Formats: sequence, structure tokens, C-alpha cells
Amino acid sequence: MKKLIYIASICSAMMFTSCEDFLTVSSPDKVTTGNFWKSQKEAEATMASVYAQLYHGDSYATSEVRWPVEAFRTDLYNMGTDAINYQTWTDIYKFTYTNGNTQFSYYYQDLYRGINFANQVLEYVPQIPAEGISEAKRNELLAEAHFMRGYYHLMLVLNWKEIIIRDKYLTDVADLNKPLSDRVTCWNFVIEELKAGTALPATRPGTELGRATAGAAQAYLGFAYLTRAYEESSKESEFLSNALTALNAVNGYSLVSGDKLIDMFNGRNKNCEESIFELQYSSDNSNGARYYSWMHNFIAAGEMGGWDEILPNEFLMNEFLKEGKISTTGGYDERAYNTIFWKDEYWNDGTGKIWGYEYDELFSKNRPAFRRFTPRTLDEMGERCNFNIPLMRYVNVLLMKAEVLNKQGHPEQAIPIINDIRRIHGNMPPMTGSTQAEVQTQIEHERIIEFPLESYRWYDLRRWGKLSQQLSQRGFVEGKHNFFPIPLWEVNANPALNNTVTEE
Amino acid sequence: MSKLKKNFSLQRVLLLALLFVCLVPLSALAQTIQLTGTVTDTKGESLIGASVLEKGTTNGCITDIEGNFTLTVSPNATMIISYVGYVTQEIALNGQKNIKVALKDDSEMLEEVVVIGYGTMKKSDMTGAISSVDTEELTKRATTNPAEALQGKIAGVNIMKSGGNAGAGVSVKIRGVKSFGSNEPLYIIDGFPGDIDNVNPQDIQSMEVLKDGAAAAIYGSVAANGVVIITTKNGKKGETHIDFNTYVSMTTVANKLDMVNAEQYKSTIKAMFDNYNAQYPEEMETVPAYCTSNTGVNTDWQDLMLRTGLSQNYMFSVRGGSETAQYSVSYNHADDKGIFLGNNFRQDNARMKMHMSKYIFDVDANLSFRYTKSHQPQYNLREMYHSSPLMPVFDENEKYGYALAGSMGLPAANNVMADHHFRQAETKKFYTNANVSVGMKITDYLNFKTSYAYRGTHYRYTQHYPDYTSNSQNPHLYPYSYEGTYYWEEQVIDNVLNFNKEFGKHSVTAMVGSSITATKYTDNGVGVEGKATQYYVDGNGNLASKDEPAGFLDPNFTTIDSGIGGTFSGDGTQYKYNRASFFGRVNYSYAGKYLFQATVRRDGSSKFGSDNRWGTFPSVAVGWRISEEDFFPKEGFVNNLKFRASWGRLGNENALGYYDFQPLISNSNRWEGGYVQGGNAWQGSASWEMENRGLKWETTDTKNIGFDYGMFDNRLTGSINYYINQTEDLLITKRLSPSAGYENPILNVGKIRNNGVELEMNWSDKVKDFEYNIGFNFSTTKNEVVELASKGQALPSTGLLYDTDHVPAYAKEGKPISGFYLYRTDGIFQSDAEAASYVNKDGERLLPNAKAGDIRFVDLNGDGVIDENDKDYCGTGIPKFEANLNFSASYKGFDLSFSMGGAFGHKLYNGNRYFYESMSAPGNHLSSVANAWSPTNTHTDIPRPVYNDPNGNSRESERFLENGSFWRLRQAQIGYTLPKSLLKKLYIEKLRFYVSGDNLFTITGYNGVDPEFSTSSPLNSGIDRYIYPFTRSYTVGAQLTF
Repeated sequence: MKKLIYIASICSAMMFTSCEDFLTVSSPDKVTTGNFWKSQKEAEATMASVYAQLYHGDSYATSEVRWPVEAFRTDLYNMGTDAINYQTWTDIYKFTYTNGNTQFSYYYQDLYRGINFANQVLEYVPQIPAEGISEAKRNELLAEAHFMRGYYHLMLVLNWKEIIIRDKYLTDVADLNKPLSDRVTCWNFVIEELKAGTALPATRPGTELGRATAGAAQAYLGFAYLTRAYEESSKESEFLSNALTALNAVNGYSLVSGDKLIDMFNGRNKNCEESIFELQYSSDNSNGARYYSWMHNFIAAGEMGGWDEILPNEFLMNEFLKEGKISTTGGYDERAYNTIFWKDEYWNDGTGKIWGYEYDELFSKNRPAFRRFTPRTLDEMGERCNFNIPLMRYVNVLLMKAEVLNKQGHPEQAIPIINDIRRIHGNMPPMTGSTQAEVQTQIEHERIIEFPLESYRWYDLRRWGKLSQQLSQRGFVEGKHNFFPIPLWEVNANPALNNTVTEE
Repeated sequence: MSKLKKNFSLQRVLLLALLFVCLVPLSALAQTIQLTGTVTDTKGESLIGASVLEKGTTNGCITDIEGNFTLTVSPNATMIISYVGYVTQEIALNGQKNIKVALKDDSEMLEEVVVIGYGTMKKSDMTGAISSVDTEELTKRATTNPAEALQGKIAGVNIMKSGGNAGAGVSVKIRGVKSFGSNEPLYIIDGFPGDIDNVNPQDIQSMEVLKDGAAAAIYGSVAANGVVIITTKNGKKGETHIDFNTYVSMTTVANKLDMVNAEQYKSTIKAMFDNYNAQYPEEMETVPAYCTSNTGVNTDWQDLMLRTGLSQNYMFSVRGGSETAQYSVSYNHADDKGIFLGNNFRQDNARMKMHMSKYIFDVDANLSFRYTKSHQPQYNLREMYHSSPLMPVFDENEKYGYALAGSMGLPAANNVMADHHFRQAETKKFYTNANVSVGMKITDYLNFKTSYAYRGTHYRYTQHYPDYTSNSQNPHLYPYSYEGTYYWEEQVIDNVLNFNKEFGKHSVTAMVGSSITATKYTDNGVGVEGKATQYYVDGNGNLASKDEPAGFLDPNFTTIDSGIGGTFSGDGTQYKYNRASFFGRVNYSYAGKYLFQATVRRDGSSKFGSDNRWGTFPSVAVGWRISEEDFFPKEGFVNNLKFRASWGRLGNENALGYYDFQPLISNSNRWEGGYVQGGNAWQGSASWEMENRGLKWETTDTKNIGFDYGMFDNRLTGSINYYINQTEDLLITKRLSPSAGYENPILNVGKIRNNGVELEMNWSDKVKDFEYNIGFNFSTTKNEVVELASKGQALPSTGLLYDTDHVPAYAKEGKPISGFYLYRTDGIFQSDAEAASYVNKDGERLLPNAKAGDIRFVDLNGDGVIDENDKDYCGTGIPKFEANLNFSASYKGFDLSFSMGGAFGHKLYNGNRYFYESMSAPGNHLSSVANAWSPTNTHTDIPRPVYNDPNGNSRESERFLENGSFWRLRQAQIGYTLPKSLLKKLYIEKLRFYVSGDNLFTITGYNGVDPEFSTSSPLNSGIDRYIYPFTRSYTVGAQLTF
């Protein structure tokens, strides 16, 4: 009997061992993190996933997340006839949103996803063996990851008052829940990250066009310092001078004019000399690639066959037209024509400037519509769209520089910069006025007409303390709507927030 | 081990051979007598055709029409009298010349035997909570799915049809929600895991539901949701039986969403904009032109797409056998025309079962094959409900002839008739099941069985559409064809050794065994779109592209080849999933009074990393047959009373993916994970999932106590059970803090508990020719989330808006898994002044945008603002109790039966009212909006229509929450069986005709289409976004046996 038990136990031990092999399976088409990062190739691939989060998802999502979140709550737009069907968008437009609003929740989630991938690069690139990557390339990729991690945190800090800083690659369940950091800590982190990004090369070879450069890092660093200068008045002069240093370091760019400018917004002048950082799209669909969008349909008015989601409002139109027809060509500011279609003799001159049509043939009444991000030809409306979205243009660096100089008490140094922009972009004569206040007013005007659909307006209004003045009649409440609330998704999942949680 | 067995069997063979040799010569020498006799059943009815045989000879005869026989036999002969369905008797004549034999019915004589995992057991020895199903009941429902026929028959088993389309499956839940993964029980069909859909109800011999841990524990990690054991019919020795059953069933729409007509539509939209413009004069919105124009169009989209369904079913079987071999062959054909245009389903199901015995061997084999072909509606039902009545079906001016909502300025929706017309798709499935087992009787008390089972499902899907447009926002510019296929297969090898012996009053049954399961899956698909991308460099040197039509010489060609020249796409992947299990069971009973059972099972699964791969799942159970005790009054009204108690642990890992235990790098060449550099695609790779998750088994701890009873000469039988199931280390897709930047992983977090009482009672009696049976069952369920990953965590249900917005239910600690957390409402503001005076203590308006006709939401926590923190627990979608009543009776040839059931004490969130009663955007609406608040219609609980809903009237609130209780007549049936005397002349054994009706009436206060619906995730229990109309069906059928 003993012998039997002995044999039986040996048999079962053998069965268990062979079972272990039987029970060990591996994915037929995916590798694990442990055996992935072998060379520069893998590091580059992960970097692509870092950038990918700028898209907020798929061909529709970029438009449906970016503009409702960044544009709808500002004072420059009307919601289009289709947009009003989306409760979450109108809630942002009318400041009736709750922390359950999905659009800024997606926005939030995507920024953090980009941060997570940047953390993967920062964690694993130092571990790549030397034979797999050159030290120069290793450092460049680390700088790029720092820049992107800084950029995503910057976008968070611009939209949320306090944020969770994600500065390490998470592998432990215990690290998932992390509290908010105060705003100063957040800004310090953002600035350190962007500084690390300034180690990037100044230019990219043609094959890498569109990836971050030292100029991009300096430009966003300047923007961060400028914003802080307003927020932390005790350190205003320090931050202003830091901002100036950073903005002055943005070299090798220049302004474009005329059609070159509008073509930055319709796919015909991508990554040009004025462009510092752009969200990249492509028609390349070889090997299943998908990097197109429907932004042209999203932006175009219904009369133009678009979906009619976002339209210029009266305030924006007034701003474009308020200086009158004083341009060197006898018209309005060139930027008006480059940005808007409206009922004007220019668009009704019998030459079919809008895809071969007169304005009045398409529009039954004066209903200004965006020209930006709509194609040059009607045919392209039916096609997938490969337009890039400029995120940082040189003109922004120049206007920020003018703002810094003016705030430092040097309106006279700001005025030539403004006049250059007016001349090159607007065919406009020099500005009138010379006091600090007049220059500031001029800068505000220039920023309004320069950046429609470019997402800066909200941050400008908050910096200048003008949110209430511009938006209170639409439901904006000072102190409540200056920043988005931390999304409910975060509140429900992260007990470390110490935030209120629905409990009964 | 195996050598030992071989020796045993050899000895046994020799012994048997010797016996045969000895037996043959014994009967040769004797004189004879004339024997007469009568064979009846125990009720005295003569048995015609019973076999009478002189033992040890071939001398025999068959009884005549009065049950009499005459035979010449030896005076000391032993007679063997047998008849199918009766217990064979042996009578030693000892000189008698006339005998009267009353044969006992099989079922009266033998103690009922119940199939349990890897074996059978006397019902009286059972210690677990097991419910057996009257299989005759199963054949009454007009369905091809036995699970559906089970509805309402067993306490604690909740069965609902998942959608009403022809070909839709059935969802079964035993004792509440225990897991965030699947809650479907394990089905064991003829000893092997299988799919209940593949069994024809008419083929079922017995069906047992193992509800508690002790009963199910022998299946360990796959049994956490309970086990349903099905044994299919086999032939019996004796005559060949041929059965033919058929029915035709007509399905009508009993209840659908009642939508507005054209005039109501226009006036609602107009009021919506008028109210808005009155409130926001500075931001006037143009009232859509269609509100005032008169086009004479009034389309009832549901009317167009719905029809009367028809299903036909034919089932044929042959069963028979000899002493040493039995067989059963059956075939079923069903044809279903669904109630929606374009919905058809067809199936053919063939099954073969064999049993052979020789020497010490028993061989069993099963083979079944099922083929299904299904066409599902090629349009979205939501689009159908959403379409405006102002949209006509056709429009000559459109390129494709169908009207487009977008071009008419109407709210975007697909023209579902266009989708129906242009799109085609077909799903075919081929199910193969085959298994064979060999049993060896090593000794009287030792039995070894080895078996092999194979299951395969082959799926093929084809889809095609030409270029067409049903929605101007989403034109299909090019023809498209797709073909997809998958093959899933599972192989199981079982080895089981059974020991069964009695020592005096001690009875011991023991079993040890092992089971190996290997699963493989492969899928792939290829699609082709009739376009080619032309690349060119534009004026600025940038890469640009343009799509042009290509391939598809005819846009209606459907094959993949017809798209040659177009753009191809393909995908495919595989997985492997392996399990290994070792198990054992001991049953001990003393004097048939004291019962004890212990089981243990050890399971390993490839879904885990090597450290947490194995789980051990033990159980113990005790039973006490009180009525067998001497002190128990023998003459009392209680004849049978048994007490049972059990504890068991069960495992579960089906919420896990196949490779979740390791962090994987995902490749992407699209927006979500790739980017563009230098104008070209830049493929990305990253880890979307967290490393080091240390996943382990989810375990359910189950406790059960209960009584089985029989009273009044066993006319009243039944059982009572109380159970507590607690699941720990729940595998939940944990909604991570989005700031972590990961996909939401599955983690072991939290505990969930179900407890409840189940009562089953059955009264059976016969008064002269009137036989009747009343079954009643009742069960309560209390579900509670005991613990989640962290205090205050909330797991959201699927949002009604884009899945993530408008979330009515959450799983939170201390409440049921799907608890409704909603804003409380307090009536409707009757004037603007009343709305303006609704302020907090600082005088700030609580609802700043409210006007007359808007809902007064409550600041529940009194903090002066109305926000997410004011949401209150408002109940759950899980019923507090469920009850069912089944009645059947027969009188002479007539029979009548009905089945009723209901659920009580729960709430349903009427999502369709949120979709179609919000009156905030110009979509389609329910006709109930005619009762919306207006200055002239103030006695209503439906708020005013107002565009953009400034007050948030349609936020998640108790406005849409309704009482879900209902009581329903599920089925009623009347049948007539022709008298035997008549049928005998036609050589027919049985012929029955019947008519029945399903879902004849429902009593409920619920306003939705149907208070009884299943949801895909337990978190969504009670959230009604189920938009399938409620149907009623009428059936005529015949059952014929030769």
C-alpha cells in the first residue's frame, strides 16, 4: 500500500510538472514589455504613441474633443446648427457642465495617456543596451519625452486649477492613486520638463518633420512663464524676464503672408517657416495607416456642405472689421479674408472666390463662416482630410514677446513687433497709440484675429482677467468656471484626491 | 497504474467466459406443461405485447390484446416477464399452471437517480441543492432552446431571452450576480461541457440544476455560476420508437414604442424652440422650417419595418436497442421569420447517441451537428426609432432614390429602409460535438472511465453593400464586401475512477479523476472597398491623395474577388487557452440516514501567470434523513424530510482575457497609437496595460442550508433553501484613475454577496381520471457589493449617451451591484416666479436656468448647489423576489397547462424615455410628449419642451425611474391526445395535438415596452435601453409516436 501511495505521488508530481508547460501560453502576435525595448527603433515607436494622444482618438474625435473643450467656452464663436444636438458641447458653451462632462473628461484622459507613454520612454530608453542606440540619440529621445510630458502637463495646468503630476512610470497598483499638487508645484514641474526639452535639435530632417524641436520647447517655456507672471504677481518680473529669454531663443522662424498663411490651415503649407509645432496629419494609408480627419466637414458651415458645428460670432466679426478698410490693398485686414467667408463685396465680386461660387449663391443671408480649415476646392470636402493643425506659430512667439516687453514697461519695443505682424499678415498700416495700455489693447486685438480656432483665447482671457467681462452674461461665474472641475471619472476612481465622493 | 488495470480486466474476461460455458447445457433435460397467464400493470390494466420467456431458453411468446398468454414450458421453469418501461419480473413456477403478473412501472420501483458531476447518485442520498426539471414540461414551449423552456420552472434560476430577434440566445442566471464577467452557468451535456443552444428540448432525458457550491464544486473553477446537467435521451432495449413533433408558431408585436405622428412632432419641436427663444431672446435660434411647412408626410417607421413573424419546427427521432446496445438518432429543422424585415433564422440539428456494452466494457458515444443560418436586420433599430415621421421613405431627387434626413433639414438619422434595401449580410455557424467514452468495470465496486470530447464552432460571416447613401453625413461612396470567419475548438480528456461499496450499514462512494481542456481559436477576415487611392505631390511639395472608384465591375457583385483593384484590408488573430484539473469526491452514508459528502478540485488555468495559476476549491456537505429515524412518526402527514447543509468554494476566471497576466505591447498605425512624421505614417508601439498586476482566481464561497420534504403521501413535495454566496477577489475591469494613462485593467478587487431564500413546492394528485399538478416556486435575492478596491469607489454602468455620459447606475459599497444613483425631483415649477424663488440660504438660485414647466431638482445634501453630490440611491434593477406558478392537468384525453411568473420590488430605468421624451433636441419623440407641461397643461409630470434643456430636465434623475414589478402569463396550452384504442388500429402509439399561446398578458405599472429584459453587463441590470418590441406568439403543434 505504501508503495502504491509512493508511485501515485510520483505520478501526480509528474503530471503537475507537465501541466505547467501545458498551462504556459503566450500571445501569438504581441510582445511583452520585458522583451520589447531593445534598440532605438522601439524607443521611436513608443515616441509615436506619445504624440498620438494629440489626436484625442480617431478621425472624428480630434474635432469633437478639441474644439468643444478649447473653443466653445470662449467669446468668439456661435455653436452651429448641428453642434446644438450634443448636450455635452452645449453644456460647455453655456457653463452648465458638471464634472461628468465627457468631452473634457476625454481631453483630460488623453493628455494623461500621452504622459504615461512619455513615462515609458523615460523609464526604458536609459535601459536600452549601448549597441542598440547611440548616446546622442538616447539623449535626444529623452529630451523629446521630457518636452512632451511637459507639454501635456502644461495643457492640464491651463485647464485645471490643480492637477496630478505623473512623473513616473506606474507599475505598482499602489501608485495609481495620487493626490493633486498645488498650482505652484505644477508650474515648477512643467517648466523643468520644458527646459529639459530645449536640449532638442533646432531643426528636424525632412523624414522627421513635425516632431518637437528646441524652438517648440522654448516657445512653450515662454508661454508658461508669461502665464505665471500674471498668476504669481510677486514673481512677475522674474517670470517676465525668464519668458523673454525663452522667447528670444526661438530662432530660425519667420512669418509668412498672403496665401501662404491661409494654406497653413488647409493642408497646402504644412510645417512651413512660420510653424513651430503642428499636429500632423497625412493621407498616407499604406499598410493600414489612418491619419486623416473630418475637420473640414466639422468646421465648414452647412451652406458649404459641412456639418455646421462652429461659426464666428458677432464679436469676432466686429474685431476683424473694426479698423475698417485701411489695408494697403484697400480692404479690411487681410486676416479677415484669410479666416472668414462673410457677406462682403470681396466674396461677391463675380469671380467665384468660394469654390467657384459667390457668397450669395451659397448663403441666403449674412452668416459668417470659417474659411480656416476648409479646403481650397469643393472636391476636397468629400475626401478625407489631411490638414495639419498649427499648435504654435511664430506669430504667437512674437505677440507674446511684445506682451512681455510692454509689461516690462517697454511699449516702444513692442510696437515694431506688432507692426511687423500687421504688415506681413494683415497688409495693415502701423498701429496707432503708444502708451502701455494702448499697446496692450492692440495686442489683445491682434491675438483675437490671429488665433481663431487655435485655442488660445481662453488662456488669454484668464491671463488678462477678462473672463467675467466677456462671458458672464452667458453663464460664466468667476471662481467657478475659470478652470474645469476634476472629471468625475477621476473622482470616482482615485480616493487619494481627497475630493468629495458621492456617498450616502 | 495502467498495468494493474489490465490484469484485473483479463481475470474478469476469463471468469465471464467460464460462466458462459457452464450455463449453456443446463436447460436441455426436462418434461413440459401448458402454462397460461395474464400480464397487467399495477393498476390492473392489461399489458399488450409483454414478453414472456422461459429462463435459460429461447422459448417465449408475447401477450395478446387482453394481456393473456399461453406457453408450453417445463414445470420447474423460471419465467421472465418483461415489458418496456416496466421492471422485469422473474417467477419460479414450482408447478403452477396459471400465473397472474402485475408489472411495476420502472419509475415506481427504482429510487430516482440524479445525474451529478462525473457520476450519478440516488436522489435520497443527495446533500446539495439540486433541482430536477420535469422534462415533459420542456417540450411544451415552442422553442428550439431548452433554456428558454426552463423559464419559471426552478426557484433561484432567472432566465431571460437576450433580445427578441429570430436566432437570439437566452441568458441564464443562477442565484444572482456573482461576477462582473459572464454569469452564465456551466452546461454539461452527456458528461461534457457544451452549449445548451445545441440541444433540442425534445431530446432531453433529464436536466438537473446544481445551485449550491457543494453540488457544483466538482466542476471547480468553471462552476461558480452553477451547473446545468443535461442528459439526452437514448433508446431502450425493446421496440423501436419513432417520434415526430411539429409546430407552427405565429409571432405578433404586442407592445412597441409609441412615437409621435407628424403633427405632434412638428408641434413638439416648435414648442421646444419657442420656449428657448422666449428664454434667451439674445441668442435666438431659428425654428426649423419643417415645423411649419406642410408636406403631407407622416411616416410610421416602425410600421414599415415590422411584420408578423412565423416559425416552423419539425423534429424527428428514432430510438431503440437491444440488451447490449442502444441508440438514438434525432433530427430537427426550424425556420424562423422574425418580426423585423430582413430577420430570418434557420437551423438544422442532428444528434446521434449510442451505448454498447460487452464483457466489462461500456462504450458511449455522442455525435451532434448543428447548422444555423441567420440574417439579422441590416439597419439600426435605434435609427428607426430616431427617424422623424416627416421623412418620407423615397425621394426621386436623391441619387439612390431614398429620402435623406440631412438633405431635408431634418435631424440626422439613417433611412433604415435604404439600409435594409442595400445592405446584405449572412451569418452561418456550424457546431460539431463528438465524444466517446469507455468504461471498465474492474470489480463490482470499482469502475474506470476514460473519455475524449471534441467541440468545434465554425463561424462564417459575409457582408456586402454597393455604393449608396442612407445618411447624408455618412455616404457609402464605394461598394464594399467583407468575409470573416472564426474557428473555435475545445478538446477535453477526462479520466475518472469510481469506487462504490456497501459495508453493512455503511455505504461509501468515492471518485478521483482528472480533466484536461485545450481550447484554440483562430479568426480572420478580409474586406475590400471599391476604391483606389491615388497619391500625388501637390503644388507645395506635400504628399496628397485622392480616392477613386476601382474594382467591382458591378457594384452588386459580392465576392472578395469582385473587388480586385480596390482597397483590401484584413485582420486575424489566435489564442490558446488551456486548463488542467484534478478532483476527488467521497460520499458516505450510514443506514441511509446520515449523509456526508466532501469534494476537492484543483484547477490550473493558462489565463494566469505561473505564480497564481492553481486554485483549490473544496466543499463539504451533510444530510440527515429525519424521516428515516425511528422516532419520526410514520403515520403523520409528513412522509419524507431531509435536512441538508453545505459549504463550498468555487473559482472563476472568465472575466479575464487570455493573456491578461502579462503586459503586452500594442502596435498601432492609426490615430490612437501612431503618428505622422515627415508627412508619412509613423507606426507606434506602447504598453497600454499596467505591468505586475498579480492576477489570481476569483473565488465564490457558498453556504447553503435546506430541507427536502414530502407530505400527504408525497402528493406535496418540494424543498426550501437558504443560501449565502460571497465572491472574493472579484475580477473587475477597474475604471482606473484616468490620470494613470492606462487602459482599464482587470484586477482582483472587492467582494460581492448574494443571499436569499428559495422555496419550491409541487402538489400532484389524481382524482379518478382527473390528474393535476400545481408547482409553485419563490425566491428572494439580496445582492450587495461588500467591498470595492477602495472606499468610495464607484464603478459606472454604461452611459446612455455615448456609453460614458448619462450614467444612471453605479456599483458602490453597501448597495447592490447595479444601484441607481439619481437626482431627486420635487415636482414641476408652475411659474417663473416659483422657479426664481428656489434659492439656497445665500439667496442664490439653485436652478438658475429654470422656468415654469421645468423640474425642481432637490439639493439633497443642502450645500446650496445642485451637483453630482446630490444624487441619491434610488433602488436597484435586481428584483427582491421572484415567483412562478405552473399548473397542468389532464382529463381523459385532454390536457391543459399554464405557466405564470413575475418579479417584484425592483426599479427599472426607462432609458427610452430619456432618449425620446427629453424634448431638448429635434430628434423623434414618444407620443407621451403630448402631455408635456404647458401653461394650459399643468397637471403633468412631464416637463416643458425646451431646446437645449437649460435646466437639465433630462439629467439622470428619478424622472425616468419606474417600478419594475410585473406578473405575466408566460404560456398557456391546451392539448388533446387521441384514445389508444383508436390509434392501435393505425399502429400509432401516441398522437397529441395542441395549441398554445406565449406572453398572453402582463400586469405591470412599467411604461416601457417590456419589464423583463436582460442586459449584457450586471452593472447595467434594470437599465432599459432595450428597444426590441415585445412579442406574443400563438402555436399549433402535433406530437406523434409510432
